[in-house]
Amino acid sequence: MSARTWKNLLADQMPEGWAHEIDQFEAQMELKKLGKLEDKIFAETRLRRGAYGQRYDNGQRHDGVDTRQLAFPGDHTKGPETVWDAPGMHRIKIPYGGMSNEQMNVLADLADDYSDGILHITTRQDIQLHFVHIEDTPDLMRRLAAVGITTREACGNSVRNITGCPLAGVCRDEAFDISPYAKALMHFFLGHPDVQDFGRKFKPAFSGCAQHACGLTNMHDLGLIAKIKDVDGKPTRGFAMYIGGGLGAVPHEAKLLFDFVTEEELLPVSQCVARVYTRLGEKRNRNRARIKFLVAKLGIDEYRRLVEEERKVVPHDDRWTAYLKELPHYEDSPLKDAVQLSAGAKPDGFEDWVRTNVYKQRQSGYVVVTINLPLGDATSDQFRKLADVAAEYVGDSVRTTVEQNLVLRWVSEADLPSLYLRLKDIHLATPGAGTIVDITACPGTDTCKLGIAASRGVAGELRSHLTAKRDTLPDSVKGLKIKASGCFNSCGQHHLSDLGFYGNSRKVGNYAVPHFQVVLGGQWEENGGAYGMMMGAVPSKRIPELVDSLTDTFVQQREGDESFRQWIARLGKKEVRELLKPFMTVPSYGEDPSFYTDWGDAREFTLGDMGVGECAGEVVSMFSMEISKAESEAFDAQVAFDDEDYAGADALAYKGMVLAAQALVRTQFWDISNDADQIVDEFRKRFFDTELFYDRYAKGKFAQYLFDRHERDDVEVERDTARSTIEETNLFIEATHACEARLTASTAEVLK
Amino acid sequence: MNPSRVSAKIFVDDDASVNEAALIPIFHRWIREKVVDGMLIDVADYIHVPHGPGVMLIGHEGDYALDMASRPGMKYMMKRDSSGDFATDLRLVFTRVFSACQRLAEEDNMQGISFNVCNVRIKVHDRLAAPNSSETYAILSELAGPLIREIFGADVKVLRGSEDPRDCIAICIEAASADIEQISNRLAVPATS
Ligand code: SF4
Repeated sequence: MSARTWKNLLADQMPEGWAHEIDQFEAQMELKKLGKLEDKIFAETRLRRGAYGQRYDNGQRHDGVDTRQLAFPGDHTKGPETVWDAPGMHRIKIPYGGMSNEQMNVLADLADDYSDGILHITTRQDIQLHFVHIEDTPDLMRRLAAVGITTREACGNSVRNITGCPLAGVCRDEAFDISPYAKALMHFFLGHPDVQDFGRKFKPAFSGCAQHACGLTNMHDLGLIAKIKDVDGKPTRGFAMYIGGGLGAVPHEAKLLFDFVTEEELLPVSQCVARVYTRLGEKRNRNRARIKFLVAKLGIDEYRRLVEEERKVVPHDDRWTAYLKELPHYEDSPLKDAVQLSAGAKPDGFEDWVRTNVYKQRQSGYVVVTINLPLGDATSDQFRKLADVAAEYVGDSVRTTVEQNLVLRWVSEADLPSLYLRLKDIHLATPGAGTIVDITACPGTDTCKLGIAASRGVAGELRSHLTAKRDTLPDSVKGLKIKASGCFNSCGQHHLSDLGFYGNSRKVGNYAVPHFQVVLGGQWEENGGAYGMMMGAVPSKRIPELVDSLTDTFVQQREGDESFRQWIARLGKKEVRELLKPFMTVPSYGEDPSFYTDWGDAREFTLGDMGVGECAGEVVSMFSMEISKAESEAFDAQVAFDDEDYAGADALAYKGMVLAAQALVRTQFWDISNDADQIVDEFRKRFFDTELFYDRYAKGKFAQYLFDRHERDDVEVERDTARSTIEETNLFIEATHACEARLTASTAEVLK
Repeated sequence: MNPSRVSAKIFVDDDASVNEAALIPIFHRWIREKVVDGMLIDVADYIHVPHGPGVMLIGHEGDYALDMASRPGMKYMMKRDSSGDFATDLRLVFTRVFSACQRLAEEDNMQGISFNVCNVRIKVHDRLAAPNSSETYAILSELAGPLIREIFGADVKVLRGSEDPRDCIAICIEAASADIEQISNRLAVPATS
């Protein structure tokens, strides 16, 4: 009987390819522990599986008095200066935020079994689990894979989660439902060879309309806005395609690449955008490696020309249009009949909740209910119970949002009072969704290695402070957006809010004091249409007073229907700075030491805990990534051999050789397929016949191992046969490394 | 049966006595001064989550928390380095959670917080090794029984917690009377078998 493991238990439920990739990752973990995989390569490998570093994983922490070593037991590492045993964060991609009830239940279980019982919704509709041990990650991935969720490419230099409006399909203003297109693009890009060699991450987003915020396409690497255009007298679906948007230290607004890309061309043109980025994007300087820098360098017209050229030569792929056949069957339909809300007594707090948390769908009699999560956090128990509520009221129609909330779609209006009470029971009926109290914050110094100041701390403080006076706030203030990031990398999307903050630090005497840079007047609507202006740094502890003062002054000075953003623009930077000035001072340590600690953290503030971030991923060549897969097959072959499975060992070793050959071929021929015959032919033509693969002493001997094994007919595999295939595979992989190193060195020589 | 994650929670006597914010500096100091056992890493603040994990003291082998789920209580969850024997693991979990209760009760800023040590809930957070079923409950209560009686007395009541198969399996201990000093002393005596 096989052992009771998640791998065995879920074997029939995981898509085969995904299961294999997870096994491969587990083998790479073993290789890492045996010292056979470099730190940098393993770091990028785990990042591409969603396993991210977390604060203090370099084994050091400032305890408020001094920086001390954390005595983790082993001496293994899982990346450069990253301790193996240190807890990490696991990011789980939720394409366009859509989750089924079954998936929610599994997510809740994972939070219990591997994390701290909290599910954190990110500003890109992912779910993050914190304090996860690397050794738990393969099972965590298997349990997700069994319900159709992959963490592949959730981090690292890859295509990240594809975001999309949570109202897609039910919105009153959309051109059409973007969900199936987002899903198709996600599956198309997942593991696609053209998106494995970026210099940095690549974030796509879909929006159903140009006017609202939900998709935030303006700040994305690839932004797609649904459009219907009259083509030859026929209404035709397509997308306005934008590229090169991004926040971070150097925010860029996206540029229009094509005004209308038909649905048939969506996938191939997106692929060509990626191919141009792969080919010409910066690889060495990670600070200039996002696509926005390439767009700025080339100009949008040149980028367009390159994409058009690429489109002419990119090999055809049936998947470009295959998904379109499924579109007519795509449906997201209600569980219950539409029934109007009846008059009569309603539960306490109901009206207030309806005002802010309920949106009328375009389908009459149905509404969308937003669950306002504090700082994007929910407990595993809440998730499980919410899945029950969803099953009862809406079916599988829950989505995450970029405001770190959840929505239930297709709620029959008549169900609202009872649904409200059910949500209240599980503490998920907080009013104020999308208003000034619903504050967005990145993880900041709580868990992020790059965090400078406590974005969650300040956001939590503002949330309580503003909630206490919510009833007395004028409507013009209630609707404002506040967003906070722990550093300039802008994961909290502070550029797009009325009042945005990002963490920094100022020296006062001999002390570091946590501050927030104040960014005002950003635009949330029109897909994050315009970015706010940086106004100056204010000590962290004065932020609540500053928010009160700015909102009061806005109410006093507001002209007609003027928005906060328009008011800031009218005042101009100089005048706004005057408003900030009284809040920029820091009392001496003796007068008020509380200024020298951050919100929610009792330790004296320090920058000493900052580590090297992994947001950027490791810049690792495509070859290194691919060859590591070959190595993991070779490792598995040895495991099978030890288990006396000789046929399995032989097959795995052969697969390792083919993958190694493919890795080398891909350095010259990007579009090499996965077909072993083609790989071996191309390898022979490009590396054997040219003698590029030749070793000074062994000449072509190692290549011959591949050819012989490839040509070998099916034979009964004996122990000795399997052992020699494994040995030959290891020698072939070594020779492949050596060949690549020789070629890279000679290229560098030529470029000198 | 060898589950990898086991927790024990001891409820406070008076829910209203809990001052969660005061715990943050206390837990930071506990890390600095190694007040409780284990390799301690950081403090996680979930005060904003209603009925959530509260303020946590994250460690390598296990986490401490003044957990607010259902009712406030001190919780220790062993998450790594299982001994391979459930009763041995449980003894360690009890030792740590009772010691944390004692330490917290001694803190000036905790406004005389006290714990109802007659009322303890054990949870096994391992759905692979210990799915929530009658069979699992029978095995676990047999494995844990001798230790529970040794610590809480022979007349202790042991009940199964939630029977929802989706929840982690839980064992509820209800002792007729118990005293934290006495429990700690009993825990300090190494098991005889
Ligand atoms: S903005 Fe900075 S602190 Fe916040 S998650 Fe991003 S990198 Fe970390």
